[in-house]
Amino acid sequence: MFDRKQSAAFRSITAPDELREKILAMEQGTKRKPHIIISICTAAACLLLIAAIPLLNRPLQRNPVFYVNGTTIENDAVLLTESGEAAPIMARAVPKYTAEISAEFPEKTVLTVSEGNMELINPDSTGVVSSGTECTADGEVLIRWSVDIPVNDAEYYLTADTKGEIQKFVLYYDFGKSAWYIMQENN
Amino acid sequence: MSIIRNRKADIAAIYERNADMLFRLALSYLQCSADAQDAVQDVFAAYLKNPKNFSDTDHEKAWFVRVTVNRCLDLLRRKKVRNHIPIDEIAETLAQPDDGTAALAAEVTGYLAEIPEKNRSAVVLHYLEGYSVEEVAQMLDISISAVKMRLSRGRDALKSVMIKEEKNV
Repeated sequence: MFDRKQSAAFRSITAPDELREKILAMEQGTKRKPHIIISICTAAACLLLIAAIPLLNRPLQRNPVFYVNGTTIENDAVLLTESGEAAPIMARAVPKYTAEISAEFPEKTVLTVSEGNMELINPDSTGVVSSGTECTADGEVLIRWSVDIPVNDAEYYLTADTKGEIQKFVLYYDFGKSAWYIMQENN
Repeated sequence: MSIIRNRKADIAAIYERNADMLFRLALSYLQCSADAQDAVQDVFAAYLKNPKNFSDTDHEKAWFVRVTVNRCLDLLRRKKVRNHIPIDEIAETLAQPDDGTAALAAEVTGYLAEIPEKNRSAVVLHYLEGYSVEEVAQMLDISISAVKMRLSRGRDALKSVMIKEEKNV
């Protein structure tokens, strides 16, 4: 087998210094790696959060829904009364017209009417929750909004303010169709 | 002696304890200083990636030896090695450079290349690194009789190589 000289010569072979440097550098690299990964993950999480904010806001700031007889009040006018019912021509007998609007408020919403008086009714108890020209609504509510019968063309406004998100509705009498309508105004 | 330590703290110490021996072992397989460096570096990279809690230095050495041998065999299988031993290369890796020693070290490394790969690590660890048969068995995770068998076959292979060399001279 190998003699002493051969064994000694073989054992005099040592790993080059550069190998030591490489390995210790690798160790430094693995030390830094978690910080780099954490930084990247943090940045990615921030970007995701920023991207998700509009999505998160939607369900958090859901607008109230207003509807009449099951029809949602949007930009198209919704018929409130049959032709001739509570029409201005009958104003002498009926001085006021009361529009009944159902609504659901996911969050507290301040309702304001430009004319007349408003009553908020609890649909379960049918009791009046609040009344006036400005009321705060929450949950499911029936709005009874009484206005003077107009002699000429007139428009009445209902404004809903949900944390600064404004919805505006216009109530009017269409003399041509002899009917009351309500519609949402474009913002 | 229990040496369970934080890997970050003791990587330099592990290197000091094992790197030279692992480099020689890798050199015996790969026959090239650069390839041997790569193999040992890969082994330490594997350790850094997935640190082990060694119960003692023997456990530590055994793990590094096994992984180094496996890495060398893997590189040989993939034929990603240069497979030569320039004496100049060996001289550069000597602790105390000396022409005679470098030539002798290169000669020994060349002989090792003629030993079947399966038996080579046992020959290096026992005859050149000076570990006992029991220690080699523990390092390679094989039985003592298996180590003796590999040493016997390694000796036979070396004898035939040396006889050929003498005839050529």
